Amino acid sequence: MSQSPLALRAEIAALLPRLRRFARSVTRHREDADDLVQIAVERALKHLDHWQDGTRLDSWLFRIMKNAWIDEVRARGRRDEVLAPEEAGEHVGFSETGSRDIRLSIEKAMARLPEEQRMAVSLVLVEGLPYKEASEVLDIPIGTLTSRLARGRDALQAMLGDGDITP
Amino acid sequence: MRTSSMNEHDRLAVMAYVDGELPPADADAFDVRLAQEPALADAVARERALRAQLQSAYAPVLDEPMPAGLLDLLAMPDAAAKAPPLHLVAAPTAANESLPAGASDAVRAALPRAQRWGWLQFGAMAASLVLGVLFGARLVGAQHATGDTLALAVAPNGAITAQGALRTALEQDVAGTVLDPNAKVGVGLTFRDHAKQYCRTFTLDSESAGIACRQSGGWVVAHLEHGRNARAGEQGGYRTAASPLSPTLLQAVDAMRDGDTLDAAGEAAAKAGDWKP
Repeated sequence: MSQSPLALRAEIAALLPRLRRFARSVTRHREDADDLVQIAVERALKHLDHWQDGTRLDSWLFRIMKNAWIDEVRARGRRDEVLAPEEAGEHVGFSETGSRDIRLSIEKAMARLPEEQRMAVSLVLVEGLPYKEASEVLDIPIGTLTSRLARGRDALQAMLGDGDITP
Repeated sequence: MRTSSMNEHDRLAVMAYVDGELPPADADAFDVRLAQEPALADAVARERALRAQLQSAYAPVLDEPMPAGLLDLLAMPDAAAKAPPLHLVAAPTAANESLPAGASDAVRAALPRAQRWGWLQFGAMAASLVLGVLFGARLVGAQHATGDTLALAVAPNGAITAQGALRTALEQDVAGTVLDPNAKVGVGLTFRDHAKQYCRTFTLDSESAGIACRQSGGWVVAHLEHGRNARAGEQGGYRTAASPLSPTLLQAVDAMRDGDTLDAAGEAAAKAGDWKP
């Protein structure tokens, strides 16, 4: 490890906004998201020597976060948590209604995706990770990643109403 | 045409194309097809729109105030134990906002050296100032490690305002407050700037000093410095009994002030008027 712990900590601090963003889409709750970031950062600091210089620090942290979330969900026994019916049924159009509505609408659509698809979509479409990095974060082959991406995207397009709807 | 109604090969190709995952030769061939097949072009446009919508939906998270607890986690443990540092954390978002997600590494690599090395310089300057850097000239948050009191906060417009103990000191302390180098928070000189606003110099912990001016939204930090330079006494520089402040801070005061610094009566009057111009 050529980087000093100080520099590495600084790098992690600089990534905090993106870690929070990923956590928000993973957990779907603001408080859960920050708890998850906290847990992941604590784990990362405990295992700073596991990070390999030359690899992407963001991917490493995303992976720690993914594992921490899986642990957390298992512990809570709410892996199959379902949304309240009114929330799941709500559908905010995004045509002329401004960006806030767009966000709500998309966040709700994201929240309804199965977790594995949501993570794949978030890593690639929001965080901009290459397939290879995203598949390593999720510990899955690239083919599995692209399949989850395709299903996640189709589901999002369908929920958001993609312009040329044919029911 | 819905992406889902395309054949599997095309569907994955559209995705990979939009995600920038096609090898260059395949991407070129795909460009040729796009020009000839409107349905394919539609599918690409829709995928791009989805990507853009997702990014704009989650982008605001990057600008939310950082919870102090997260910043504290990253303080160096030994340094934190030794001294009560002021934690300042970089805001990579300022540089990243207009760029695609994931560009952060590339963006950071492209940042001017001065900004990139800010971390290390600050680290070398003041061991207890663990995460000090003004990245893109914007602070995300600052916190006193010794208590829960926020000393500095950043407004949505990027202005740094005094909070907690510092704000209290700025509003309450008048002449007679001695700038004690060991005090966590201290107020020094008071003056009016060219806009007739009241401004006061302050010190925070043993490492930082600055100037805050009273505006309608509170005390806005107009000048902030960290490390050795913030305290002239430590390097035997210019120092008077009344103001153990750095030469750069005093220069900033001279550049900002309109008229003399206030005496005790002037400060008391300003305080009585709630520091309004």
